Amino acid sequence: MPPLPHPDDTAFAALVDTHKAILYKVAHAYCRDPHARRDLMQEMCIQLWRALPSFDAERGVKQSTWVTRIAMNVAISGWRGERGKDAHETVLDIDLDETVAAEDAGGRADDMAVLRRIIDELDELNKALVLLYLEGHDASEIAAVLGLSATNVTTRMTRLKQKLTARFAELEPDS
Amino acid sequence: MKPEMNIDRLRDAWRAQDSALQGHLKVNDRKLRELMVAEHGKDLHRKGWLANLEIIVWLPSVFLITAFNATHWGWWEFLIPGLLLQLWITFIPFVSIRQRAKLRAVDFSQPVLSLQREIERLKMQRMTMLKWAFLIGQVIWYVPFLIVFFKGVFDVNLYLMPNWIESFMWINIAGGLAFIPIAVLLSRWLGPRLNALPKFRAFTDNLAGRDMLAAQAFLERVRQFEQDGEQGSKQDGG
Repeated sequence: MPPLPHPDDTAFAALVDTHKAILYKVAHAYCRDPHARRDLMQEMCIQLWRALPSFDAERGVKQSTWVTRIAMNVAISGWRGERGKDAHETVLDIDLDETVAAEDAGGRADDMAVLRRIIDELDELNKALVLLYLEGHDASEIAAVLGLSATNVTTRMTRLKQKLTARFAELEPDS
Repeated sequence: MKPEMNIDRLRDAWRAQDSALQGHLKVNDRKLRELMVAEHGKDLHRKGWLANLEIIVWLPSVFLITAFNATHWGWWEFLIPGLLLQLWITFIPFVSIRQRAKLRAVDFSQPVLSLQREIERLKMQRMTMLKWAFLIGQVIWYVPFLIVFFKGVFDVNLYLMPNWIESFMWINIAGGLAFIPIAVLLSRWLGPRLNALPKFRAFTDNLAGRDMLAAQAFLERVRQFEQDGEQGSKQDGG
């Protein structure tokens, strides 16, 4: 195992601060219970910290992609440590309910609510694919995060978009 | 007419959440530092093997049972239960510690599919080990343990006790073996009724093999996820 960064390293706090929105969005997509979600984000931070020494070795990988990969791995594996007893104080203090961010998202709260519902319905792997796409990653970046080929990602994404469009039509607020 | 909604139309809105989230989410620096210090301490602690309680208990147990077997070499009525206990005592904790260490050492920065496969396989190995350690333990930690314990501690040969072999030993060994399928069947029936007791539910799920089925189903989903896309891209390309 590579040497661990020093616990007082402020650079790590800065990294978490820069990418906290990704951690929140991934945790929110995979975990509906607010308390469990806080534990999940805490576990993401721990795994980020543990993996930090290996980040420099990865050439050509954007930091945001690397953070997303770890966050998704933690969320999908349902990794739980022995934490979670201190429900009052958490690494990421959340000062919003889930509708706030959607309301700020260009005034498309209803559409975003439908999108969240559709994401909830997906299995853990397709959910990862859609989240990465929504985050703006291209096929090769998604392939690097998931461990698939870029053509595989493109094929899957095309099919998934068709399914999602059909589901949107069923669930759209005005329909 | 409202345009057809699709994921591409919501991509910008999704990313627009970031600025709101950046404002609403605050990193608790002190808590983060405390957490990292605690993790750092755990890692240092793990390097000191003798500090691990399991090792402190395990090593004397291995020593004692090895000494018993060495002094009873050739006495098959004592050596066979002694060797069974030695196998359990030596093998199970060793494998358990190794499995836990492997799970702890998993690198979460790997690509999602390979990591999920690795974790699920490690979990499955651990489930199998824990299940059989418990079930076999029901047999080994009863009659063989009594034979070794009474001989080793009190120098009492239970085989010479009246009716030991006919009325106790074989009946209880048979009972212990019969417990294995009964425990599996009972946990299948009991598990779904134990939602209020998650830890006991996890235990019964393990005995009943439900967690193993869930792990296998997940691995199958990972395999399908990889294969479907590859087949699709070949078809689309061809």
